Amino acid sequence: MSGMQVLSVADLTRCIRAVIEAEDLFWDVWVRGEISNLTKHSSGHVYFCLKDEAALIRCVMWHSDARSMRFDLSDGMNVVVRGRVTVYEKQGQYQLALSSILPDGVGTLYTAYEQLKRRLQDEGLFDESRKKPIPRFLRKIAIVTSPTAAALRDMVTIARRRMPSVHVLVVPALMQGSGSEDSVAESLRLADSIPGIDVILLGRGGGSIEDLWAFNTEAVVRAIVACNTPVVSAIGHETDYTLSDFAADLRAPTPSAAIELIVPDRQELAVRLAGLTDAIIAASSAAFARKCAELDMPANSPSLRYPEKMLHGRWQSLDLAEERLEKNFRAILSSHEKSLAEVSGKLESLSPLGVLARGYGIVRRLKDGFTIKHISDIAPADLMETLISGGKLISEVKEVKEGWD
Amino acid sequence: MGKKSELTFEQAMARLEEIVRQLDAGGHTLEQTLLLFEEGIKLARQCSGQLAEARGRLDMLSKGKNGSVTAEPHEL
Repeated sequence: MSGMQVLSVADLTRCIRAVIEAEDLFWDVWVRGEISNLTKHSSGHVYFCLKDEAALIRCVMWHSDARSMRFDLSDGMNVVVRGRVTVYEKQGQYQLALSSILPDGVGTLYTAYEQLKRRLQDEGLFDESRKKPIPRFLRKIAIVTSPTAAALRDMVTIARRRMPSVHVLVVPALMQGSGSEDSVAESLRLADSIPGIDVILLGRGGGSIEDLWAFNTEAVVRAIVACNTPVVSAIGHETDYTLSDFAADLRAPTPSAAIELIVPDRQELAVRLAGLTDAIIAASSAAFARKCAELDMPANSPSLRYPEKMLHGRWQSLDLAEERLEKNFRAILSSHEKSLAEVSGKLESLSPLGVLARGYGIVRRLKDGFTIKHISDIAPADLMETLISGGKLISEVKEVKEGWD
Repeated sequence: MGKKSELTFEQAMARLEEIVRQLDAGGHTLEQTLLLFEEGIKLARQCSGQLAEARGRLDMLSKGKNGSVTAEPHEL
């Protein structure tokens, strides 16, 4: 023993630690194994043993790294860990201090995606019952996207083609890479805080699963769910499904498709409006004709024969309305011949011949074909020609009375 | 009547459909029929006016240093 140096346990352990930690090989290692004895300490640090058939090594992941884990660990899980070999002097143990843990076998991102999806689903965030309807006639859309992306140009071009009057507000966000999830979440909150926005469109063109990752994060899902304004998610291509798609009130396969889905087509609306206008004119005319019949007016009463006279003032405003509507429709549709044919059918029914089919007549002086527009155009004994649906009748005026009575 | 003009396009279209239904159903006095008719034409004009509106704006939102948010016209 003499001459031999006696070390303290601490000294020796320090020496061992120095040797181990000086080894380049141990500075940054990747190790595959199975998790056992997993302990998640209340401090946020995570401890477990990584083992295979032949050996075992203790692992620790400090709170600061464990916080950014994108999936949950469990005993028996096969993982690939990355870390540095260190020595824990107090316990005389060498261990791996981990910087990251990846699930082994199935892809990391896929596992993280499935786990987060299940958790948020269980929380009810994807429930159909909490989805808001998308307004059908949009005046103002907020598009959360990258201001430099080609997708933005496509979206605006299509929106303007369908409904030129639509007001588009671009809310810029970082759509991929580090910091994108917070940027997207923040832009969603911002868009939602602006008054008068009908719909928020979250749009991004195609990319790798890593590029689209922000849209699979809890931060973005929660930001979507928190919006009071309806949110449409259009991320990547048709085949890409992200968690933002499940959380949004509407999922569109691509940004362009989203615009097609939510921005109404002005021509279609013009056709619908023309149909409704026509229906109102037809229905009020018919209702009026029924009323006349109910009142059992004398057969030769001018009111029955020329019921529109009773509506004189009203019809004048109708003429103005028709003229204006027709002008607008023509202006809207002038550059689109296809639907012009459709609409001209509707407008046709507003023409005098269409009116005949609804129970009215056109009265003309027989001798010169002058169309009677006012009672003063008629004199007793005049021969009249009345055009009604299906033919005409010739009659002689017996009496002319001013007024309705 | 001032209240009517505040209807959104979609509400106005729905009201137009309702007016057609009511007129078709009948049972109104002449005056009621006329009022429905006038309301319908007015709404139709309002809707067609909205459809004919000029090109909408394209704005880009930006955030100032002090946290203020401004929207500036944007060119594609």
